[in-house]
Amino acid sequence: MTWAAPLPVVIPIVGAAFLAAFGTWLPPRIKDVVGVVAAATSAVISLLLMHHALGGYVVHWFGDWKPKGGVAIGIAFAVDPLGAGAAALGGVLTVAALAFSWSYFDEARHYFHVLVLVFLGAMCGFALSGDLFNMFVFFELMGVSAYALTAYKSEEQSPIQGALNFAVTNSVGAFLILIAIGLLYGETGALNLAQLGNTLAGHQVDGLVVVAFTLLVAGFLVKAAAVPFHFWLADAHAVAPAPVCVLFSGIMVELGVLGIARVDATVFSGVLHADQDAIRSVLVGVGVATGLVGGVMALLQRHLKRLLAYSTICHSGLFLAGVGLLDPKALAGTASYVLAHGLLKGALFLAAGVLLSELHSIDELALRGRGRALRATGLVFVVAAIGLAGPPFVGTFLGKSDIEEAGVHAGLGWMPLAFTVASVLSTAAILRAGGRVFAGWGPARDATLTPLPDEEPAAGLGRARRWQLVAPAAVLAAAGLAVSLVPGLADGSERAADLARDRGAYVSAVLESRRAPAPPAPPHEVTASSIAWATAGTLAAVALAGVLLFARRRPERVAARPLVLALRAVHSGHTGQYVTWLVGGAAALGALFALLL
Amino acid sequence: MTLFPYLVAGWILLAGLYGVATSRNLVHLIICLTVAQSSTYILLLAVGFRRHATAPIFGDIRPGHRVVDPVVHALTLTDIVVSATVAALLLSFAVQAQKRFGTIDPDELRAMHG
Amino acid sequence: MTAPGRAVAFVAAGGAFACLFVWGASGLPPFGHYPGPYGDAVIASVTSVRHTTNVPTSIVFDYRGFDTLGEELILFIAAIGVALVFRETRDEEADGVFPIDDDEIRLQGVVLVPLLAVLGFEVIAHGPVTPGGGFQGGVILAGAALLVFLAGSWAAYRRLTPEPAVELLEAAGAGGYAVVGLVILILGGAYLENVLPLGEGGQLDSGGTIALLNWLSAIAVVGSFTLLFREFLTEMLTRRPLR
Repeated sequence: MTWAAPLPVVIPIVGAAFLAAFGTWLPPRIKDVVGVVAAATSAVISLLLMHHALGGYVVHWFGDWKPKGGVAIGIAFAVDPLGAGAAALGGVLTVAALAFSWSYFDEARHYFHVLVLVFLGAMCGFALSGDLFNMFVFFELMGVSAYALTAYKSEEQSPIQGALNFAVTNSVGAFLILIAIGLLYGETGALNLAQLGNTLAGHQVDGLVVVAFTLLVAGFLVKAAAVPFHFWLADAHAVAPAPVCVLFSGIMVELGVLGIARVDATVFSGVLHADQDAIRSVLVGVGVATGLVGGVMALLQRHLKRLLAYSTICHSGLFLAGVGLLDPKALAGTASYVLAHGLLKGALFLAAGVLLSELHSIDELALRGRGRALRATGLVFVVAAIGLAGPPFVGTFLGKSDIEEAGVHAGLGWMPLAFTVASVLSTAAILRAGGRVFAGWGPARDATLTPLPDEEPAAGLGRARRWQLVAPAAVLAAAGLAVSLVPGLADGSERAADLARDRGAYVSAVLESRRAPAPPAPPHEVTASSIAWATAGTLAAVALAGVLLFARRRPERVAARPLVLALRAVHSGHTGQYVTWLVGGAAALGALFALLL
Repeated sequence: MTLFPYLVAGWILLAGLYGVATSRNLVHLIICLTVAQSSTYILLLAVGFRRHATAPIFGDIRPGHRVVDPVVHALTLTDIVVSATVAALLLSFAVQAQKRFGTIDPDELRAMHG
Repeated sequence: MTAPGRAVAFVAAGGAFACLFVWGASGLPPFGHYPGPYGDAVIASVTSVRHTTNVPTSIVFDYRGFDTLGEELILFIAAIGVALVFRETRDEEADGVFPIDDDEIRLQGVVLVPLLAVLGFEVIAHGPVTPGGGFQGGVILAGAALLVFLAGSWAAYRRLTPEPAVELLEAAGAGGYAVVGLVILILGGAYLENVLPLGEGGQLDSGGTIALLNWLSAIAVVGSFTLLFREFLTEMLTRRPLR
């Protein structure tokens, strides 16, 4: 099935070009249909590729330039179940976003569909590619379409600050990746991931290897919104339209984490094999720190999309910790966790979109109690939030429990606690918002929450029938909850993770055309302790939300605490400050790796 | 001389990023971003350079003549197009900022924070 | 963080980053002695297997043609993004004529526009043969069109570049590139495999699909850059009309 490998990328792109060329002459519904069909076709082909790739990497050489003597001359797609799964998730979320937009925007402006389809194509390309520079090109394409989508104005009067911060910081991240590519190319003469890994495996760990690793990880961490590269994400989500936020939070950020996993497994696992413990400590540390910062910041928000964005940062940190364990079971857990999170977070953003469309506000305090009439939306919102907390056998449970167990197995016994605390913080924030908006609980004023100008949404939101907006949200929420119950997902993801981390299988499939199937998975067990942690976490999240809503507190005192003031000052919205943190973060990461590797 | 071109690339990158970090004008910030990106061209082209070699065009030299690495030229071409287009998009944001807020000073674009 | 504080913080961070960078770059082969297995493998096959003489253009459109599709799409999306950002809040179209009154400038325009157009076409056409190609020549052509505004009048530029035509052009270029690859895929080859007759080295039609993709990318570049120029100029002319 190698002929099908380019299709998840090509089909949305051809659809986008068609819409761009003829959009002014087509009736609006045709544009919607073309968009949904192109995205759905891409998703279906990605799913088929995922299934086929369990039998071994599916390799497609573009231009039919096959490698000679271990030297790759062309660009390859090396499709594995993990990459194809990410592409499929992107396709599914795109279909949901387009279905939502069908009624959400008042005119079917064809630019929106063009941008979303190219965005999908870029994400699929990034996930499936086997060539480092090709990954960079799709990273930039993903970025540019995202910047343009962030500036799409139908909701806010001024998305410019968010779009600008997004564009500048992610561009700098892309520079770091490109410098790393330059260094690696100079050292090895290769751009193909398999060839890079092979050539480096015979080299010493010198400054170039460490710095290239640092820069690649830092560049991908900008996309993954890890601390201290995360500042752009909340700004972008605050202004981007809700269906676009579904894509950003559901799959775009996760691709940054996938990039790190891919590059580590294929390029660096050979040369850095003696330093796995050091890399693990750094990545897990950064991940958990991100989770905690994201969780705390989520509690300080009243702009619902910004709150959900910080929740994404929190979960993205936990994904990073999962990948950073450098272990197949943890990677498998991360894959299931990403899947559940993408679907559930998508449902939450669409629900926020319903609030904006029906009630013309996105501010938790301004919406207090006004959501009582939107019962279905409220149900979707609360249920999706609970799913994110991951009570036993629901939603994110499968993924989180696998990562926690792998962490304990690797000697990091504190992982379940860290995961639970981060998750409790961000889920409590969402539940608090849900309680205040849909049930009217909680005080009408709260000084701990950052006031943001709650602007009237600009004209451009349609007068949709409510069920047309709630239905995609409900479908996503239901699918997300069911993730932990899908038979075979645990085994399939474990097999996929084993294949993804096997550098030998990758090299022989790409450079020697020898496919090795994914090994069979050991029987999957769920331990009693992970059930206990999941139950405790869910109950604690509900309890914390209750405390925030009902306990009499002095919010002014909390708001004046130095930690809160410091966090607010740091998340300033100022582009130059973000870039300074970025450079500092990259330097700090490099110093850590320099000392430890 | 063995490291000098790479150091030049590094200097340009940091000078450009310094401009981005401390800028008081969005247009200046975007141009500094472009400057920072141009450091990657220099790095790529310097990596592929060979002494006493000529351009990789075989119209007037016979195959087998020593030429510089052509792959980095293709990479740099892609890089230049990416840089120019991102700059164009960012400049449109700057124009909109002027229209909406009346200012292009990043210090004053403070609608969003916390 | 205040501005001086930020400058100091950046200098500190940048200094640390610089040390890192120098340490990394010290691992590179000495300047001028690049061994280059990838480049050599390409060079070995370019004249014999592909019959072209311009190696970077062959890499851009054949060996690494898929990257170029991505790059063209970036250009395409940026132009659409700019159009999107400006059109959302534009109240009126720039309908004025804004002619240039100076006869000397108009004369220079009359002479330069056709010259630049010919140069542009020449650079595009010689892509597979001599330095140049679709991107370089496409920008020259877009610039030649822009000269109609700079030395003539805005109304003339608008007539030359009607919006639907420009959007069609850029979509046809980028989409055409993707479709060519798809057609080849459907016919049983790899995506973007070079299946057209290769011609003779040194001729304008050498390289098979290299020549075809070269022209498609030129079309995409002309369309995208013209759209960019039009959008920025319309924005400028509606807000502050030139006298």
